[in-house]
Amino acid sequence: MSLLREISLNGGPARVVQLTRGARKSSLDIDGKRFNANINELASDGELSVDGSSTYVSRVVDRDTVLIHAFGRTWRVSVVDPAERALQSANQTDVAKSPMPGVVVSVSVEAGDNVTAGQPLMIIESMKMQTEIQASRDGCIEQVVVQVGETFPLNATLVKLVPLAAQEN
Amino acid sequence: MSLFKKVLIANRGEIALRIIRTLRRLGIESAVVYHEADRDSPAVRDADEGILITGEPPVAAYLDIAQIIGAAQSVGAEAVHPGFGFLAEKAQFAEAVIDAGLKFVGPSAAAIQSMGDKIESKRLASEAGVTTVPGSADAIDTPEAAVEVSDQIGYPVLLKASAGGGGKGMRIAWNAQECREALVRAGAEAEAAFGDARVFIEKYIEEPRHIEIQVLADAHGAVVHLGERECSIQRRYQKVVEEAPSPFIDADTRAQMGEQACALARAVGYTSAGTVEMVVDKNRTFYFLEMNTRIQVEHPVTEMVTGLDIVEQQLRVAAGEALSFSQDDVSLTGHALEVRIYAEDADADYIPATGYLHRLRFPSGEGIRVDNGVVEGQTIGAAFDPMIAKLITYGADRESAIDRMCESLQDTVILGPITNTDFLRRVVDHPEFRAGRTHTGFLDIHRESLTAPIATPEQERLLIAAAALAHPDFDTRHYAPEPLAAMGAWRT
Repeated sequence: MSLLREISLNGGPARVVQLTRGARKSSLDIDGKRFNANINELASDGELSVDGSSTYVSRVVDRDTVLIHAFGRTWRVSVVDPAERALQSANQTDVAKSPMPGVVVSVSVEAGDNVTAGQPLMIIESMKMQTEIQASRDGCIEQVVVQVGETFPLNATLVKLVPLAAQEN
Repeated sequence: MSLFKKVLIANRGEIALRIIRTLRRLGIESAVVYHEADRDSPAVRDADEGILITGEPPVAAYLDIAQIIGAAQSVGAEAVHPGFGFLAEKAQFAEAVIDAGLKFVGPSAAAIQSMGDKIESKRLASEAGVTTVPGSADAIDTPEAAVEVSDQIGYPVLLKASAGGGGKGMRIAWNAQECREALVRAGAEAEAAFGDARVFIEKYIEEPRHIEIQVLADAHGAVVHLGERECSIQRRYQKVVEEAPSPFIDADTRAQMGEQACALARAVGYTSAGTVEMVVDKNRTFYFLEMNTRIQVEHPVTEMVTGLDIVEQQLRVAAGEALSFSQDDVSLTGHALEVRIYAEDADADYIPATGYLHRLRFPSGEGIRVDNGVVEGQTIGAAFDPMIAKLITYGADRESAIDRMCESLQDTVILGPITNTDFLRRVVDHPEFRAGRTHTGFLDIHRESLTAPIATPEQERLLIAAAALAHPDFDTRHYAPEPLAAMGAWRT
């Protein structure tokens, strides 16, 4: 059985990858080219070889990202299901996300407010730098997810707008 | 006089752990205060005792003087070590510790106070015969006065708004004509930005290097210096790479800087470890910047080249012991380098990164020291400073210390939040760094040649294979039947 995913390295171009697992060797299809891959697994670390070239890798899976230490560096390799990506990009303008981890300094909107594109929604602070979070489009605030003083990680949802799909209904 | 039986550490992370190491070696019990967010940290695990303190945000707990003094008294500690950051340079804290009948592992409150004030410290330094950046004593009103002052100082000069900040109202002038124009413009900018048109003039330092002198002083009047550290590699005014000795400083300059640093320490009745920070121009002329009245983040490089344990010296001084060596006994051997591992994305303007720490492996071996404050399975949050560890290497000379650092950074495995580990390797391996041509603008002017190289096609193939073979999506043994797979992102 084989499966198709888009894999990209450190935010670089996405490659269409298919993997067919075998007992010892697996066959890998990258952008239509076929390779034979083999990994001697020692838990999550091991010697990996692809068509004769090989390296030692340490890896962990963190949701859609595989974190790999190899060639003396760290690599972030994202593994995306094209079907899920299509679904998510449709919802992208419905939320304001954090560009960096930090803490909420002030909030200037509340649920039910109508906002216009570019309007400030809140001010966040990270490492003594303040950043304004703005509305990405015109719309109505559904929920302010984080409160003043609350800390949040990178890419956290800060404010939700009433989804475009819901507005049209 | 005997050393303490128990010391409270009013800090967290790698410096708390580092202090515990010395306490243990000296047979002193360690107690550490901690906020709930640090419960699983190695400092709390390794200390003999941990005392929970509260605060929101978590940083507030470590700034709460009353809670920390209370903690020290409740466990019967005789002394408090503040580490760096948090309360380390708050005179009020040093005073409160003393008032509670405990010893403060640091200088007197008065010394902290006078060195903490920019104007007062510069005045004291100047009185003690320390070279300060030449500049106008008062605000300059007319272009004629500006030119007169600048001629005395020597070009280039920097015109700064009195109320300044963020580069507004700042101008560089290279000659008299530029100086006249700059005064008018800087004044107008300052008026517009701050409602205060007053402008001062000082010498503009070209290709400035940040070089600092470590001093040690006891309560019996002895003051020695332990040579310099160069910390010119900075981002957002924060040090990233430090080394000792500086590749730029000769024995003569070192002796002069050391003498001035000791003179300042004597002038303020300094005790314990302290650092006199200087800016050094391209002609090796040095000027006083400020004095830090605590142990520095980068103290390990000095320990590596002097063979001294600075925390031990601080503890002995706090207990009233006299320094057991004199200036003539201090010698610098070999070369040491330190890099600060930050959870941040150096390729995206150093934005801080957070996340779960899946994997953590540091190298070990001769000439490698790791001052680390985190463990696998810990979540790196945004509540504290993003520095998670320091890697220190030592070699017979600078080149071997750099080579060892490059290898050590390549062998450091941190899988979880983005860190600057790879970036640091590119910095210390940069030909200009290897040549010793460093200054505080280094990371900015070499930005392009410091960006991460992309993978070769062969590397990319191997990495894609590694990811595909690791990712559960490709694991057909767990392959979901069609209806579940169709739920996409919503499956759990």
